[in-house]
Amino acid sequence: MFGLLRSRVVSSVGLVLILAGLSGCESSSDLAQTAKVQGMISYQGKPVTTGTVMFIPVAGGPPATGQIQPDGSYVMKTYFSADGAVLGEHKVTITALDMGTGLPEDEATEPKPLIPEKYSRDATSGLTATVESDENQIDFPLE
Amino acid sequence: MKRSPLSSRGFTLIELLVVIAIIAILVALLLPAVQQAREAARRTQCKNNLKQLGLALHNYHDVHSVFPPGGLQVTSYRIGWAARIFPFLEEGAMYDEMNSLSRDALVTSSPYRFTSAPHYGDSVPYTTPVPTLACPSSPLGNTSPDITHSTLTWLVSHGALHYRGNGGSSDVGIIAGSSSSRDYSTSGIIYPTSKVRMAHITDGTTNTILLGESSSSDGWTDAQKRGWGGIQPWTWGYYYYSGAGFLQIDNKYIQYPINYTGSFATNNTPFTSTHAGGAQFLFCDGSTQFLSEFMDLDVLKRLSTRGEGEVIGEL
Repeated sequence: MFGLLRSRVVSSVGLVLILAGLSGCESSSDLAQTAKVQGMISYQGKPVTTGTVMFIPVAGGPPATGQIQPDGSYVMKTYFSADGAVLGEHKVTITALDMGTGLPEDEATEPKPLIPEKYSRDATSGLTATVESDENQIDFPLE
Repeated sequence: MKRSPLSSRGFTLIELLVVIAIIAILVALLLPAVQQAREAARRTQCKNNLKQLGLALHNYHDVHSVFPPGGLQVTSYRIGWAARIFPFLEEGAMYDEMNSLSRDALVTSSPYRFTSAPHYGDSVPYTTPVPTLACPSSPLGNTSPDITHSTLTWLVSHGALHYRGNGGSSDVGIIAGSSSSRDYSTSGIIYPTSKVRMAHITDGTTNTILLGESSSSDGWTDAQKRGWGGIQPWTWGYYYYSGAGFLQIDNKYIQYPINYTGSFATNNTPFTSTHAGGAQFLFCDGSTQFLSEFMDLDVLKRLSTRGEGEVIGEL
């Protein structure tokens, strides 16, 4: 009789373990391989103090962005903070804007680009970068 | 064999404990999923909003033979496409109310900027949220809490607009304004002075975005949230500078990825949402699709142009 009870307990505990195991199934992700990228942005010799750098993979894949810090440095992010950009060739755009404070009818306070507007569109920026495995230091001295 | 009296008496303490443990584990498994189920329900409701807007835009197209414009050459802060489709969105009463406050309200009043006659910015039609225009997952709710302004204090109570027209791609058909923040694209469906018909969408209605979600300002700076490129209410659609470009407020051209948090100007606000990992889009055939924030930017731009003849492939 005790044997019967024990086997019941054992089988129910086993069932619980199976259930718990099933819930733990994790799907493996297939993120593209990235490499760390950092650098400096300057315009006419002076660091650009705000804005965003964007790397667009030429061969396709997720774009990476990096916020320009007040000292002109940036660190790229694709999926997670500071994970860099996917390996390979990239088109690069840089957008740097003073947001402005006024209303549209007050033309003196509208948003102004801090660097020429052509750098913000990949069709006209002409900037490129190659990301290699390990760490990359890529500076953009703009004229 | 004789049955033991013990086994017929019911459950033992150990059996009961095991049953309770199983129930506890099941509850622990299910409870976190309840939150996910709620978000899934909100995401579905958001998708339904886009579907309704798609039906309304198609009905507008049936009546007017053209999709609503994303801007007219009328100066000041004019109301955009959202109010143009109110009669097709079961919001005819709202439309009538606006027009009873001022004749041809869409081109004569600027409720965003003024509360005086004939604009009435703090009156009922403009401060009443339209449920179909707001994503239920958005932390912004159904009004415009981001748009804090020291003198235009009524803006925070204006109805939200979490879906913006597809104004095209930053690579194709850019019209230069007199300053770069007034540049606008003409390669989409709803853009300044647009008169796009179904027949003009030669890339195929299935491959061209009509509306995209713009319901989250997470990660933006305060200046970006408050700025002209922020998530503005439906009461401001566009701003025309005479002869010198437009501000695209309720329609945007695509230059940046989905859920991008960096610098952007006024006319290229990125499409954003709080649904995990991307945002929802309505296509010109009336279908809706969730697009990932990690998709190719070039593919997203190709989906935004109506007649470039690009091959899209699988998303």
